[in-house]
Formats: sequence, structure tokens, C-alpha cells
Amino acid sequence: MKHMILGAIESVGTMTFSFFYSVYEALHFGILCLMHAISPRSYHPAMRTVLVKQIYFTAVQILPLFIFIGMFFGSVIIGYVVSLAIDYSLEDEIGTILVAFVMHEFAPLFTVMLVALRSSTAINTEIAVMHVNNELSTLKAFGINVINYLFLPRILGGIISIILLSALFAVIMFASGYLFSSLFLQMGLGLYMHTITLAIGVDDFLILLGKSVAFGFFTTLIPIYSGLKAGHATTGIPISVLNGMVRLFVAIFTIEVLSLLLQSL
Amino acid sequence: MSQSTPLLANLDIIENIALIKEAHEFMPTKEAQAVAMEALERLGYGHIAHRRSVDCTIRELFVAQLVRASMLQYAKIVIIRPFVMLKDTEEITMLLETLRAMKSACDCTVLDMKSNRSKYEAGGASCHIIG
Repeated sequence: MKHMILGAIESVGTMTFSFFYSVYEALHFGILCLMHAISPRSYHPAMRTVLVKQIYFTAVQILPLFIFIGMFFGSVIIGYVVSLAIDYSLEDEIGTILVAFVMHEFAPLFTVMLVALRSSTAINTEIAVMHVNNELSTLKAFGINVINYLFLPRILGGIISIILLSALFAVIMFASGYLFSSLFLQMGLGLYMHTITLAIGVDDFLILLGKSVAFGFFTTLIPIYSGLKAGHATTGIPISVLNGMVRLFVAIFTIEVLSLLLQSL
Repeated sequence: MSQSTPLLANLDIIENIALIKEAHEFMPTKEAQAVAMEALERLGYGHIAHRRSVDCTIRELFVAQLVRASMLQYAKIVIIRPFVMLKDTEEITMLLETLRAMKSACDCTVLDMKSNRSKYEAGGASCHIIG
């Protein structure tokens, strides 16, 4: 009995230690990548090609699906928010409610979910396969810095893509907001624009930008980090993707909770 | 170059070769690809430029790896056990012809097993023995 309790305590301790160690390792890796980002030597033509491809795969290829889902879910949710505001006689606050809901929460969170499902899994798998196939060690053997050539363009591409897609999603949702405001409140376009313009402040843009940057950074950094942990057998690839996605969703919700806490201060 | 330095699977052969010049010398992509194409054509392998490594034969992959290695400035290419990559010791003629054709572009050294020494000697060449 005593051995079982000691064993359980030991395994909890090991799990806690390994959790904090991997958080430390991932953050250390992230800081290393950011330090490379400030060096002009990192931006060679091959890196720039990967950066453009990454933005294309993450932000451009997804556009038709993104716009469709944005219009569909955005309309339903904005419609619900508008009707809720009317039910609670908050018509005067409709601009503030829409801005807070769309720019602070829904646009960045929805965007990061779509990008995580589509691009982060791809990045995780690609890095794991390259690791297993010795392609990363080949690059090192040829004196090509893997952070500059592989990781940095993916991280920067992820950040740029999520900023752009979040902004686009916010625009789609505001357009849906107009549709429902005109239906339920008989609000004209001029009045709607005026209401939204009055409600939007610099801090709203900063929150949208800050959350998009944080989401973009972690949706690419964590899959890369997990891909590097794949080991040298092909059986390690699915495990690496599985662990990477779990870590990523924990990180996304942690950022979400932290941002809510910061906004409530 | 050896079996443990494969080409990148998500790039064409020409992109794999041009990558070295782009990363080391900041050479623009088009220019680096022109240099890569010229090197491939010199060896008679221009037709593989836009293929991925999965679509190439073992011989084509070997040549692509050799050309990629030659893209390094002041390259001294060390080929470790070429027959492990070529899968067939009968490829000795092709290997020696390719190395002779590369001679003007870079300095190549072969490291191989004692059992293969006679094959090089029969072709009028030599290799360094690693075991």
C-alpha cells in the first residue's frame, strides 16, 4: 500500500516536472526563433520563398471555406447577440456589444481554431516527417540554419495569416451585424456605421492585434516543437501530432483565459 | 554526401540544389535555379530538374545529391560509401564518369570499404578505405 502511494506521488511529480520542463523548453525555443527574427541575415531568398508559401497555404487557400463559415456562423451568432441585446433593452449599447464580442473574442478565437485544425496539423506532420527522414540533419550538414529556413517563415507566416484572417472575420461579422440590425432594429447603413465607429477604439484594435499575434505565434511554434520531438521512427509521427494538438489547444485556451483576465483588470 | 543526407522531399530537384546558393550566398531564387540547371545539364540530367525525389531513379537521386553538394562555395565533396546510395556496384562506370565530369567544378573524395577497392582500380581511379 505504502509503495503504491509512493509510486502515485512519484508519477504525479514526474508528470508535473515534465510538463513544466516542456513549457520551459518550448518557450526557450520560441525566444530563440524570435531572436533570429530580428537578424536581417535570417531573411535569405529561400526563407522568403517559404514565408510566401506559408502565407499562401495558411491564409489564401483557406479563404473560400473561411468566408463561407464566417458568413454562416457569424450571421447566426451575431443575430443571436443582436436579438439578446434587444430582449434586454440594450439597443443603445449594440455597437459596444458587437465590437467587444467580435473584436475581443470571436474573430481571433474562431480564426485560430480553423488555422489550428488546418495548418498546425500540417506543420506538425511536415516537421516530424522531415525529422524522421533526416532532412533536418541534412540541412544542418549543409550549413543551412533550420530556424531561419524552416521555423521562422512558418512562425511569421502564421502570425501574419492570423492577423489578416481575424481582421477579415471581424469585417464579415460586422457585415452580418448590419444585416440583423437592419432586420430587427430597422437600422440604416449610415446609422449602423456611425454606431460601430463610435464604439470602436484604439484599444479594440490593440486587443485584436495582440491576441492574433499570440495565437499566430503559438499555433506554429507548438507544432514545430512537437514535430521535433517525433524521434527517428515513423511510428513517432502520429504521436507527435497528437501531443502537439493537445498542447496547442491547452495553449489557445490559456491565452484566451489570460486575455479575459487582463481585460477584466 | 551519404545515405543520411537525402534531398528534401517537399522541393523539386532544382529547388533542392538552388537552396544552397540562396541560403549561403543570398543569391536570388531565379539566378540560383539557373546555376543549378546549368550544373544538371552539364551532367546530362537537365530533365530531372522539376521532378520531386520520389519520381527519380536511384542514379538520378545520386547525381542530384552530388550537384547539390557542389553548390557549396569551395566545396570538397566527400562521398561516403556511394554504392549504399546507388544500391548496385555495377554502377561504378556511371559513378566514375560523373565524378570525372564534376572534377572541374569541385574536388571529390570517395570513402568506401576495402571490398570495393578493386572496382575503383579497374576504372583507373582510387578511393579512401574506411573499413
